[in-house]
Amino acid sequence: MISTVSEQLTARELKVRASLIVLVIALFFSLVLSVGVGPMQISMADSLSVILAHSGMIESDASAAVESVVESIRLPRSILGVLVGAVLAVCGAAMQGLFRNPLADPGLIGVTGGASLAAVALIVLGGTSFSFMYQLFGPYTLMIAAFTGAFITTLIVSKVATTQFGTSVTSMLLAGIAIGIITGAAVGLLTYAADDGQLRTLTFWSMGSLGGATWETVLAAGSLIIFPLVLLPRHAKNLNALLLGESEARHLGIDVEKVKRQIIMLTAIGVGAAVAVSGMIGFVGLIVPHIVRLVLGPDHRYLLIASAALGALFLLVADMISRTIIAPAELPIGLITTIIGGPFFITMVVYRARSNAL
Amino acid sequence: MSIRLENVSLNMGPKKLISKISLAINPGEVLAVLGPNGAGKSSVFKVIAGEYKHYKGQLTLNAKPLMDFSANQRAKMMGVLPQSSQLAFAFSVFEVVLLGRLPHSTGRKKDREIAFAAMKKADVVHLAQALYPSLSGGEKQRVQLARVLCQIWQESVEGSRYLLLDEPTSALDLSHQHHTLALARELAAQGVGVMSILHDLNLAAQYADNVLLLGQGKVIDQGPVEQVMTAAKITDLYGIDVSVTEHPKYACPLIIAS
Repeated sequence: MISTVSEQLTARELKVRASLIVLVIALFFSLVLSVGVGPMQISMADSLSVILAHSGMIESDASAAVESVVESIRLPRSILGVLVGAVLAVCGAAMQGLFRNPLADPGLIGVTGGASLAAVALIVLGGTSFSFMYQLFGPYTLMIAAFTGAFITTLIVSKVATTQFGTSVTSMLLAGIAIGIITGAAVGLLTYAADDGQLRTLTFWSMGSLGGATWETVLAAGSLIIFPLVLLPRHAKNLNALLLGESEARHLGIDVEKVKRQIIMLTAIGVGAAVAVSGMIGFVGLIVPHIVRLVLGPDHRYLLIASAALGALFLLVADMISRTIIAPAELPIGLITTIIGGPFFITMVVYRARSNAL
Repeated sequence: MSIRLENVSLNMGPKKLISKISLAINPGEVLAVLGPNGAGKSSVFKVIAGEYKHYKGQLTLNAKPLMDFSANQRAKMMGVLPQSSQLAFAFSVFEVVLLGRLPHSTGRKKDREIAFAAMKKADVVHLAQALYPSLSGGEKQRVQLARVLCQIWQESVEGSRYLLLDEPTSALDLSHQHHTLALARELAAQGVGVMSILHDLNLAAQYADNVLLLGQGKVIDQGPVEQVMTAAKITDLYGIDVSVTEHPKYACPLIIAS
């Protein structure tokens, strides 16, 4: 009897491993594909050879024009998409575990809004009030601002939602909605004060885009995004225990306060960095972990890693759609993820309300 | 070796929850904590479980202050069964029970064996593949019991083991109520110190060695079952007339509301 039970668990682990391999292959495939998509069509063979040449493995045999398009425009953009998609999905999954509710998404609970407000404030007032920031932090300024905004909103939301009786999800969502509206209004005020050039940048913010990607942004964002990507999966067991409840996790020997602090910090870093380079890309952190949970179950040991891979894949595909659907113009990627994510969210709410799980 | 409280008081803001509680949970014994609603049972429970740190007085675990142990050391010695658990994610029962092995590093194979044995003890083996959120209240309670058993299954190098149960029978049918408390007795026989909050006085009379009566945050009386569970004390504490006779089958008091 124990062997059957145990075997079934082992079978599930094999399924997880297989799914991860499939995801990674699909991810690599769409990376190569995404590099080829755009006004200048590039064959997959050429894309692959430039990518491999870029990583120093082989000599590229593609033409110089192809090489320069891929190297300086398409490849950094695709890699940024991978990083942002992966980190948004992992942060979403981690927050859902922390708050014990699959509806907690960095966008929905106001964290993205806070990051965005801080970034917009910097863009509009950076030349005047905040110019000291640029002198202090150089190219990382925007990211540090966005991280601070994300961190402060996460703290506010968790403070509002947490009483001595635990974390109330309703309070959390309501606080998140309120913060979203407030930050939205503040962004509106700043928009009013912005000049023409800043307005263009702000539009980019509110709808999200990977269009500004250069190797510098990839490097700067990547150097921050790597922390949540590597460190959040290490909290997998802690998050599993937290799903039982905070007291239960404490009784299982977990230093709950420390774990919570670290997870909030890491998600703020991840969301802040993502917002700083790509604006508001909503719903990735909601949809992706949800799909992974449906297929692989709620165990964070698999959920976090698989969400990272699927999130990267999702954003790459969304970016390809954004570049091609109204070519030669470009649809902001945030619109695409929202068009997919909005209805998805409503479906989730309806489903959960029906099964009395809200 | 025991869990000892000496003159432990706890305030929540201006409100006194418990004052000057002294008690001992000894290995090999079952202690039942009884009292009306709001008597401070849960507060005592939570102080011992390490959830409130701002208590006054002495609280020692195996002769060392409780807070001198790391969370992990405590988890290896002390299993805590909450009244209800809010787990809403679709873990299977086997996975939930396996979470009890988190404080340990005994390896996957051993963990699974222990989890399976604990499921057998709590009578939930047939639910092993079921998803936790789909279970009934009583089944969930038994699964959580299996998880806690799994946690303190083996003797710990840290010291004697303890099991704290907060109304472990509240959602259970008659046979599982007795099954659960018989299990508590079995663990006590293996040297585990058990403390359980109970509402059913007859379950307490039948399975406990010692009883602690709590009223308005204070200890009303404590000691062996026969000594503490008298008609006068119970009538006084609960404000309802009771008769106490001898159990027809066992040598323990039988309490009947009259």
